[in-house]
Amino acid sequence: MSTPQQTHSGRSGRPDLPGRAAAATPGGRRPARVPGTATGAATRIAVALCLVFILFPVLISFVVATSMNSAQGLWGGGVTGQWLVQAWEQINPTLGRSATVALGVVAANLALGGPLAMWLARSGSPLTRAVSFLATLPLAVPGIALSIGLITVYPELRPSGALLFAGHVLFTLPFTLAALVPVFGERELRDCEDVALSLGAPAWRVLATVTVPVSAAALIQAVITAFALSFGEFNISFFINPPAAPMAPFALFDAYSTQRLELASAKTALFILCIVPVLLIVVLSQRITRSTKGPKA
Amino acid sequence: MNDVTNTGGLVIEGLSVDYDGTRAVEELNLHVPDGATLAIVGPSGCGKSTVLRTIAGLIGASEGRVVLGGRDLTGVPASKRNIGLVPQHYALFPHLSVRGNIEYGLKARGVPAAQRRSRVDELLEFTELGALERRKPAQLSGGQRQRVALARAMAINPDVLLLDEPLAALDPQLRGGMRRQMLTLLDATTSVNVIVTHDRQEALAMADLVAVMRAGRLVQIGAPRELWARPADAFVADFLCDAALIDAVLTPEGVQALEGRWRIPSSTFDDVTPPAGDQPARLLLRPTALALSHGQPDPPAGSIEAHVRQAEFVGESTLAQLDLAGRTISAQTPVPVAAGDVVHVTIAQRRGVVLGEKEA
Repeated sequence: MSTPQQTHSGRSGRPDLPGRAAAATPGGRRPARVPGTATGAATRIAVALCLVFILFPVLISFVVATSMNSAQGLWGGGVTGQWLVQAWEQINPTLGRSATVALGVVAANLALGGPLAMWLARSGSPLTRAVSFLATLPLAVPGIALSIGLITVYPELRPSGALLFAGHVLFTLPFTLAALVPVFGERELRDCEDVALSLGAPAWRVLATVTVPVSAAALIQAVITAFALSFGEFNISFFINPPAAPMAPFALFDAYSTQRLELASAKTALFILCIVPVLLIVVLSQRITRSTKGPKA
Repeated sequence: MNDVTNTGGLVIEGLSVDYDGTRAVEELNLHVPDGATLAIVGPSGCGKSTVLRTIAGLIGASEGRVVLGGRDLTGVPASKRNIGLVPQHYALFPHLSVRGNIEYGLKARGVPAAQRRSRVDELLEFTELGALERRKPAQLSGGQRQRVALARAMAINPDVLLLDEPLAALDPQLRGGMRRQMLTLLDATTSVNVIVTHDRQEALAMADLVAVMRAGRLVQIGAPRELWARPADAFVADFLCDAALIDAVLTPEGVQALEGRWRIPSSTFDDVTPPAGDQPARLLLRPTALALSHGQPDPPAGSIEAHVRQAEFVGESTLAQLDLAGRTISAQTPVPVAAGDVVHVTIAQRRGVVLGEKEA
């Protein structure tokens, strides 16, 4: 029987996995990539759009945040870190507050969204469609309408911050469900769970040792998405949150409205620095999942 | 049915299963002795996988019982049944290594680490996976994954080993070799083995008993040679033997079929004793039992004219679909025929099988 050690790709010398070997030509060489395909052009356009509309504005924010006086141009009057220091002193408590709320929202998403996603993915009940529709509805309602609706119906919850928390959970739950429902419904996962049960594992052990690890990438994606959305959510935070204790996006809005551009940009840079590692974890988890799943037999 | 629930082995008694509001399995009765291998075969949707999942406790029975070694398992949860399950695509735990997969059931049952290590080492050696013990499933070939799944199921010394389409995920070129390897592994178990497959070759080669299912019902069960020689009806003949089963009349002169248009002398058959009077019978026509002659001026004795509807060259012979008095019948012949040809069909000497009217 041929084993992976016995087949080697000619150029790299690395062992060929079964799926890789199948993709190679009979001579063992991989087919050359065809340049100028529609996919290649689309990729280049997507990268260019990302550069123009995402990376470029972020870079400009960082440059302005480190400029002595941006009115004299980028890095006008020289480069300085004073705006970043000053911004950190001012926004530090706000970032902490936003992060705390976001962590709570993540916990609520896991506690509510996990079982709900499992039910939606696996129940044959006709109610699943209605519940799925209702859970997704907050995405279709403008943030301002959702916020005012919540304030109108539950005004007593506003001062404690519970209404803000509930609003964030409502807003993030559809994303958690979107990440988890397809994974929990996968035949492969259910087969793994069935095998674990038949091997004598009780239900809690199957959940801990099979369901959670096999769905880890989707769970991480759900966690990070909920965290990032809650951390950066503006509409609900703006309308519901007591002004004395603003959330980070509102603080940025306030800074751009009332403070120097360099200071507001520095606060933006700090906000971005808080969120970038979180997004990197998503990318990393997706890569790990791809390498773990590998080719099918 | 006699009470076989105390005789050991696996007994399925009056089992009916409803699945998504549909009756998937109806009144199934089976008995598989200890150490025997049962193959359940049938077309897609016939309920064979549902039977497997019901034995495993993953689907509840609507009626009837599953009894193993005299113990009624019907209400016992899947985790308490001591059943090894190998799903169609093996369902290896992707985050665990080969060793971790095989060890899983032992860990779940709280087996001490030293015993676990020893049992896993034994199975790694037995399945020739020792060199791959640290690999993840994604780094294994299809055949290697299959052996890991088998070793994982065998690690807990199951009372029943359930295999759902065990070779279906493999390339056709690998199946023969893997079938032989799997037979060696199954021979080493003392459990009851149940294989679900839609591949008749797999069933005939691997099982001590073959159960043929259709539309949720058991059509016939028996030893492979028994089913091969005496299929209960046209469905079993077609599904298991690729043969046709046609009504005939056994006469003192021989066999008459197709409303008397085909008269075959009794000397053609080995085991036919001419009766005193006419008796209803059935004629089993395997593709290899039919001899075709083409382009001869005089039709051979005991032959009937047929039209070739379709002809496929399959290497050593041609597989022809014949229109025989309005019935489509397969014939495998060395004669190079083509669609549209008119041929004469006889039953090759000693190859024809005449069955009684209602044998099962």
